[in-house]
Parts: sequence; C-alpha cells; structure tokens
Amino acid sequence: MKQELVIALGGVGLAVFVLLIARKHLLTLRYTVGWVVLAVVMTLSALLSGFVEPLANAVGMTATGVLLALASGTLLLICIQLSISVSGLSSQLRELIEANALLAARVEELAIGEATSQEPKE
Amino acid sequence: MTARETLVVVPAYNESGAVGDVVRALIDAGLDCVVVDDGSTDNTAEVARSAGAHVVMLPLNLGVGGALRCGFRYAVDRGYTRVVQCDADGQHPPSEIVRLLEVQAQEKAHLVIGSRFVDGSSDYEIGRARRLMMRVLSGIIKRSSGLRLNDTTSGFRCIAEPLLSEFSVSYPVHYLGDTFEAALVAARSGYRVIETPIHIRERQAGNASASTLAAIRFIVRAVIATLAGLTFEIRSFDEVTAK
Repeated sequence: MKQELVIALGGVGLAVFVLLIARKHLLTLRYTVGWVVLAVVMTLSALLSGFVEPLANAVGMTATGVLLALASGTLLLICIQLSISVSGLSSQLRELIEANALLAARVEELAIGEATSQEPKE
Repeated sequence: MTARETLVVVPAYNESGAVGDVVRALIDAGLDCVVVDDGSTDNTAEVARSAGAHVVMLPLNLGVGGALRCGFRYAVDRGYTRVVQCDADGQHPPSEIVRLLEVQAQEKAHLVIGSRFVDGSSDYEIGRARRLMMRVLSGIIKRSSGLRLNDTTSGFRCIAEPLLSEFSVSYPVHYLGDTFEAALVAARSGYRVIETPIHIRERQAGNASASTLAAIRFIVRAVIATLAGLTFEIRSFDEVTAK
C-alpha cells in the first residue's frame, strides 16, 4: 500500500509542478495538457492498483512493477514525440533563417539600386 | 563558358582573414560570386562586401550544408544554371574553378567533384585514419550507386541544372551531408556525377572545420544513415526531365 501511495503522491506532485511552470509561461498549453493527463493517469492507476492485479499476475510482476513499466513506456513515447517536435522545429528554423537571409540580401540589392538611380546625372 | 550562367558560392564562417583575397581573386577571374556568411562572429561579411562580393548573412550558424543550400537558392532565384562551391579559406584557386567549369561543360555532368587524390591532382596530405575512412565511404558509394569516387569529402564541386534546383530545395546540413551524401544521392537519382583532378593550396587563414575525431563520429553517422536508407531525397533525373 505504501508503494501505491508514493506513486499517487508522485502523480499529484507532477501535476502541481507542471501547472506551476505552465502558469509562469515556461510551458505551452499543448505540452501542459499532456503532462497533466499523465499525472492524473499515474495517480488514478496507483489508487486503483487492484484493477492491475490480474495483468500483473499474468505477466509475473507486482502491481507496482506493472504501473512503473507503464509509466516508463509512456515517458519513452513522450520523449520520442518531443524528439519529433524538435526535429520539425529545427527544419522550420533552418527554412526561416535562409528565407530571412535571402530577403535581407534582396532588400540590400534593391536599396543599392535605388540609391544608384537617385544619384544626380552629370 | 559564359561567366553569367555561373555563380561561385563561398560559404564562410569566421574567415575574415582569407575571404577578402578569395573574393578579389574570383572577381579578377571574371566570376560572379556570393559569400554566404554562416553566422560568423567576426567581420567576415564586411570584409567580403568590401572586396566586392554579394553577401548573404545567415543570422545563425547552420553549418556548411545550410550555407550552401542558401547559396543555391540565391543562384536559382537569379537564373544561374551552374554553381561552384568554393572554400573561403583560399584553398581553391580560381584557375581550378575555370577548369572545373570546362570539365562540366565538356562532359555535360550535373555534379563535378574536384578530387585531391586522382591522377594529376596535388600531393594533398591527409592522415592515415582519415584516408581509411574515405576509402570506406568510397566503398559505400560504389556499392550503393556504382559510382567510383576517390575524394568523397571534397568540398570543391560544380553543380549544374537540373540538379542545382533539386539541391536548392533539399540539401542536408550535417557534416558530410553536403559532400559524401550529396554525391551518393545524386548518383542514385540518375544524375551524371564525375570526378576530376584538382590542385588545391594550403589554407590562407582560419582553422579546419572538423577534427579527425569529429570526422570519425560523423562518418559512422553517415554510414548508418546510408545503410538504413536515411539519406535526404531529391527528385530523380528521369522524373525532372519527364516534365
């Protein structure tokens, strides 16, 4: 029972921590929701660990072990999803940097052309 | 050869010591050039501009591949049909650029790689470990595409249409992506890739971009990417010319 209580408290702690950093605008809503859902699932799973018993017995693990394995799997999925997001952002950032540089070069060329055309003719 | 169809793209990162002479030599040779300042923290852009180059300034460092793709886009936007990659450290003399262009025109190649190691090229010295790794890369290219290359990491290249437009859309930023992987992908996609001997000089200033240890790491990555089919993609030559 102690283990379930520790996991449940961990879930509550995670939810509180995530909400606190979200209120400080360090986390966008998209990611806040994901982490809060994970925290809630973690807490409920711990409190309702009796329902996990049949599964735990089937795979030869304790209920706590099954819960931790599920939590680890979920974290792994979140890490992969974040890696995908970061890869996409890197690609988008590169496009933006190049477009910005090319635009700046074009503006500079136009400014030079305009300055040249405005020079008084002899 | 007409100069106006050709643009020399010079990616530069903290090369203020050499880029001015490089630009002046290119302009004296009658070549159009653009320096892509890859987020330098020194005054590379100002030096290049003072020497007479067009300059594109990337606000952040993207790596050689990123600077090159930006240069390719600049070239395609302005109607150039051929691009020569040229280092900003003074290793690639304009006379060799002209020779590279002549070979491209004669052979009607889409990618001409200036090789430091084929017969007739300079006595360019590299370490044993690096030479071994380049042999490994050559072997991979030969097995994957049938292309026989000696200098898989040469950054001295001429790229012509329609490959230039493809590379302006898709070109990797990681180390070796712009050399080994680009040659592999071009050859696999049905473009004509050839190698020609070149003579290069010692660096005029600045430091080499990658240590041997880093090279080993990136080569391992390149090998994994190739074997796992993770290389970048372009439209094949048949696909492009069928339009």
